[in-house]
Amino acid sequence: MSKKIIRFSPLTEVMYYILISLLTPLHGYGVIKKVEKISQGRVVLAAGTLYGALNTLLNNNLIVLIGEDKDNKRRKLYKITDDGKELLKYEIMRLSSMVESGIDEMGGIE
Amino acid sequence: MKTVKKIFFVWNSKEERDFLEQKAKEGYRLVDVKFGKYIFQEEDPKNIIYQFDFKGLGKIPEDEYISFYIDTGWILACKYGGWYYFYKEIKEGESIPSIYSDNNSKKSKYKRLLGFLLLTGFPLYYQNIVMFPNMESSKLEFPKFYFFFRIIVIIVTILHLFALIKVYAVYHKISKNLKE
Repeated sequence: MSKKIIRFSPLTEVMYYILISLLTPLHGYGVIKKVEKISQGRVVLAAGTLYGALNTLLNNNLIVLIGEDKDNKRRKLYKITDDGKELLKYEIMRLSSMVESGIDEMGGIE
Repeated sequence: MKTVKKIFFVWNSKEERDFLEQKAKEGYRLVDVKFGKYIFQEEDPKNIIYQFDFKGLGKIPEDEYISFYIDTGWILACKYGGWYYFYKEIKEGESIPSIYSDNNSKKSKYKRLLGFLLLTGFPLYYQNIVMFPNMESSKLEFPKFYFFFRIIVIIVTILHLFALIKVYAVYHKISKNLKE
């Protein structure tokens, strides 16, 4: 695991969900809908939040622009990069280890 | 059309929002902002929520940026000096919508604003610190051009410094708030 990628960890909930949603190419509004769906309605991205997060992810080469929507040219399509995927793997490992420690120490969450 | 003369500074955005939302209740919808002027269109009184965003420089182009808002139900009222005035109508009892769903993105708006202020501030501070002190003193005497010019530059610099401090204070306040 490269040092370069680890410096983005820990990801905010928003960044994490956007990265997962972009495992398949989507445009901005598509990201909002997918994140809402996979988080079971818990994470609803607002427009300004989406803009800020996409800009940060683009600037750090964690996602890339891959083209535009055929039906609406204003909608640009994005996809996760290899760096982004590497970061996600690291985050998932980190998060599951966190959850495991929590459950172990609490003796369950019931 | 109705024009209201009013000035709000960047640190008075809460007051500016209240003013515009009150006007909407009275039946005036914002259509344009000019320096010290708000231009309204008459229509039925409505419950409208206004939100202001500062786009700054980013890789995402303006039309795509605006489409994020349109897709989530916001309407662009107007643009004014890097600021975008969005609004949304809400029904009685509906929760107040926001263009930011987490603390981090609220913070990044102020970060973009700080970056912009520092960039625009550079020539001002250059004039105060480098240009004026190195000028022949006879040029800066009353009633020469540079005498008045220097006074204007000093006033603008004070306002600029004040804005920087105010914006930084808001940024700092949001940074300390871990919740949301």
